[in-house]
Amino acid sequence: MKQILHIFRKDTRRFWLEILLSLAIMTALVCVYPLQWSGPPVTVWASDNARNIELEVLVRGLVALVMASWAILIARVIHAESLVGERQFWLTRPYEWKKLLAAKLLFLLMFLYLPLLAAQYVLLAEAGLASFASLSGLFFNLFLITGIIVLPLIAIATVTANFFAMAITLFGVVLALFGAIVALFIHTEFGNTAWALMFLAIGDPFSSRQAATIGSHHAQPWIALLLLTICGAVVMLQYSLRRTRVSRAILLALPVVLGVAAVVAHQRTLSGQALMDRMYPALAAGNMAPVQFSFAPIENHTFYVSRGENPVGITLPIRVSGIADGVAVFAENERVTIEAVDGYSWSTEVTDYNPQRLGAANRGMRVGFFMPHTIYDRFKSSPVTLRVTFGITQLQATGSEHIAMPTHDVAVPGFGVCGGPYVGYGLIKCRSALRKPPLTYVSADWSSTPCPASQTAMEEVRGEFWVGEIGRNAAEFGVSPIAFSGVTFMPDLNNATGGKYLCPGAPITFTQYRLAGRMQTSLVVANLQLPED
Amino acid sequence: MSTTIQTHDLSMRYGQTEALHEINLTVPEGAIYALVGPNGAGKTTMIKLLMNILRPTVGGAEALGVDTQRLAGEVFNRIGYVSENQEMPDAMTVEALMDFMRPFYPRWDRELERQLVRQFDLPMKRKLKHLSRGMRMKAAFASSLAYRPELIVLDEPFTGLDPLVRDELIESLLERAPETTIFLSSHDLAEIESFASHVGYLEDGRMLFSEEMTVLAGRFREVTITLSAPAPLPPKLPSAWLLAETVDCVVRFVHSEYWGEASEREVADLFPGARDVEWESMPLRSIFLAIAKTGRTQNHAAQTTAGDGRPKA
Repeated sequence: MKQILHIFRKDTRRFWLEILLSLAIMTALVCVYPLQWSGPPVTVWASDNARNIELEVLVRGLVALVMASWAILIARVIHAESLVGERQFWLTRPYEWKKLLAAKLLFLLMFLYLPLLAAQYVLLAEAGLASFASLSGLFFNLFLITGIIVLPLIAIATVTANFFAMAITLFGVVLALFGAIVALFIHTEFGNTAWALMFLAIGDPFSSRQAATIGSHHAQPWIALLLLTICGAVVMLQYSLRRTRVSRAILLALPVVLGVAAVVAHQRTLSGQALMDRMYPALAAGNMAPVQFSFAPIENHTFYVSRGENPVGITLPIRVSGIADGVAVFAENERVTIEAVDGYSWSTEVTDYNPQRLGAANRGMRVGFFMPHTIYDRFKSSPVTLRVTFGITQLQATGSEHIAMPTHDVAVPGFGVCGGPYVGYGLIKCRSALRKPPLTYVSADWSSTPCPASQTAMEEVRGEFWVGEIGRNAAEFGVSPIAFSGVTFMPDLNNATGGKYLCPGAPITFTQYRLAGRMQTSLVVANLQLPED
Repeated sequence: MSTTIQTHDLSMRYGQTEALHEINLTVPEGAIYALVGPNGAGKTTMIKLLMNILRPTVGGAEALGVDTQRLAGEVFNRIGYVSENQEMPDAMTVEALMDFMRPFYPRWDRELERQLVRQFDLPMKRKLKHLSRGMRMKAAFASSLAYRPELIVLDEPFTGLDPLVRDELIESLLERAPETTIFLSSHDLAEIESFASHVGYLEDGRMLFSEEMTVLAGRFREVTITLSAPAPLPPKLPSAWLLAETVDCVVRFVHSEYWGEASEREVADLFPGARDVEWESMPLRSIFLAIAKTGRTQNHAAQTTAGDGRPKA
């Protein structure tokens, strides 16, 4: 322990300037970040919204600087006893590698992790989200940051001789990563997955956490664990044996490992029927699906074929019924199969392009797909049997919270803190601790009469919105601990609700849902005659 | 007498280049062992292998009874290592260096440290990066001697130093000599001749010899034979005769295996008409030059003749 503290003290004395710089940047981030919710109401997404844009740029810049300061701290402290080369002073001194490594980790604990933890807690407190329960999320986020940023940086520092070599290496890594993804994006369908994986891996360290999806960040802990294992092995190897060539080879192989993992993930996520069968088991005999689908035009959903085009676009109107109160159904994956009387059949891939979020109030939806013209020609001559298989997720309401359309910050229990309004749009900007809020259906009671003149109205809105995530990790990767969720009441193009005005003070209901089950269900349309060209 | 350093077929390759070839070496306890040889002979590689800075391709070594590939941590409490091209913690002052090093060594002698600092006239408040080369070496010496190591390993410690600094460093080393074993490399024969007890000669990665200085000096003689009439050299000379040449009535060579009367009889048998034979002991420098020249001559011969001794086409 004496040796650990001795080396730690030496490093602290030597790198006080780097430490000070890192702390100053972190402090600046803590000061600037809350301006995102503490300023006066602004017009979001408007072209003249200079303040928002400047603030966003400033925050992202500061987060980038925080990470750059970490890279500098790590490089400086590791290279103080460089593991690469044959001329280092410390190699022939009675350093014990375990204690040397412990001293370096202690340094990072004191000047990287503790300031980060403190900054995150202060930000949570500023956002009105600090609680004892958020501590576990903070530590989970530290685990993700360790796996995705800190340990890879340490590993690179252990196989480079100095800061310049490390900077060049990092530049090369970023360039190679970007190049590989661009190449994949241009040349293969795998590109989309590559992008997705990159963002799942590195997430958005710039604190976005804005989208509302189901389990979109599940890969983060696994990627963090993979990086933690491989980079951890490199660090141990370097400190115990200084096998730089072997360590470099391992790190160079890391992209290959990640690539294989990406391919496996790609196959698992896009393997069509296999995915359907694994994620959405068939209904047991005698069990009813929580939703019934039938082929019937309803309201503005009609049967439509974009003839004369190749491929031919086909839109099926689906009537929805049987959803019980307090139940919601997400139809996330679907596959359409068409079979002619002569036995010839054709199927689409399993797609999740247009997930449908259905509640008891929903009556209809559409399913669209494309078919090559030659196949369409083959089917159109006689009636066909059409089968749409849905992978559906059943959700059960767990409770509701009611607030008035906010003009200032309002705490929504179990969800976060919501503020607003944002002039001219039906947006409530909410924030939650460390991750997106639980999956929540937000609905508003609207008025058929204009808002009072003294208040700013949000006209032409549809008062419902799904936000949040089921199957959340304890935290999502990010330097900032705040997850923003925009609850956007969309313009009511169909006027289905009959309401027109959403005024400040209007009742807003947040209904949280939990996962109740996943299953397959099918809609069969017999004797369907496809129209002639 | 026990051994402090021992190597067994110690070999090292850098890709296709063989830096060291099957080195077998013994350094007894208390010796001042000088490893000499021209630049690029493999001296630094040898020392780095002994200090576990590099790992051998084949063979092994022990230092202070420890397998050198396990040399790490505490055992360096007993070893002092200074190298001419060692990176020092340049941002530290001399005082900070001493303060930092002190707690690592349980046997650090504060009084000896003060004595070395005084002796070397070290500027304690100056950063290492602002010191001259000589001063940096002195600081390195002070920080490596103050804990009274049992083994001091020095890689070209005096290269590029002015004579005054060199003498100061040698003096400080000799003061430690009774309590330690010293292993140092050098390509300057003059600087080690005065104090080394043992010497090893390394050339092209091969150890040509390794023995006590007194034995070495005793077995080498420069021989001058004056004949009564000019005569060619006998066709087959003993292999211990190096650099044999004849000019008119004088034959000269270096005898590398001088054993007194037996050697003198051997000369008398080969040159029965000799009028006079002089046997002169040789300074270390001349011995090494003779060995080096012989090595180069043999190398040249090997390169210009085929395996059967005939000149290459």
